[in-house]
Amino acid sequence: MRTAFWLLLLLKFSATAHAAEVVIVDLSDAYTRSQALAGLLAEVDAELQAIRARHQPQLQAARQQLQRVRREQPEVRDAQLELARRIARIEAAVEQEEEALAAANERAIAQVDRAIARAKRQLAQRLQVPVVLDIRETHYLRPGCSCERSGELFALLNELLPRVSLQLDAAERAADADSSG
Amino acid sequence: MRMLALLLGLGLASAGQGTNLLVLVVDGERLENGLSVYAELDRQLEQARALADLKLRQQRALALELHRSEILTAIPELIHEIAEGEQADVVLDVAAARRIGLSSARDITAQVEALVLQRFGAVDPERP
Repeated sequence: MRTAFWLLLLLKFSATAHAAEVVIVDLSDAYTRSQALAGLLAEVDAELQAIRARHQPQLQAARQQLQRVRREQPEVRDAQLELARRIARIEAAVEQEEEALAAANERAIAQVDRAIARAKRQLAQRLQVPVVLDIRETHYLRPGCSCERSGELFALLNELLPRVSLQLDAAERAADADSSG
Repeated sequence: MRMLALLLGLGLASAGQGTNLLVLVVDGERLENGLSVYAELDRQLEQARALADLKLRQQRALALELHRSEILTAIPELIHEIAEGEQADVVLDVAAARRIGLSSARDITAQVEALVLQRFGAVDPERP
């Protein structure tokens, strides 16, 4: 009876220990399951709208003014040229701000990438496996396989990095504002 | 004593088994680039390029490219078919298996290749 008990216990232990040897995570829905990435996405979207809102009125006014001058004073070339230059300056400022936003977004994503790598290492340590594999390294994964541990990875990631901020350069932004005025 | 033997026996069994998940491996690189059927397709493509009739040459070349594309599209499905038939939990790429030190998993590359040959092996050179 005692032997049978130990046997069952050992079998259970053996099964549990080896079940964790292959651990796979699927990061394809990271933009919804990572709080940091979901927040970043919303922040980038808001920044893009803010850039447009900042410049659109001036841009629209300058374009309307140019049309009016062309219509009413087609012979006044200097005024047309000055308006065209102003439009080009505003467009360049928008482009510059969008590029700064893209760079800040890349820096934030790199921060999330580092946190993902850390979360993977911690998960591997916790589950006593040499490495956590990405689903892209598999050719087939049985639905519901106990080796699929994305939920734990995202829980760890959200603990390690609950949010990430866009670090937009304030000086750059001020310069942009000046150049567009 | 009996207990010790039991412990040793279980230890050895689990060490050999490696995992209680059924893990299979496949060589993705070979399936994508190294199958004999691709060499045959390349050979036929060379022959097609030597044809004098431009329209026929283009038709043959297109048919052979399509055939290759059909094979590449079918490979993941064939892997799934084998995995499901074997009731496997995971099919890893050999490179990934190597990374985690999993050397005991069965390689099904030859099985996939056999299925590819069975279903797509016969290339009809007359097919437009």
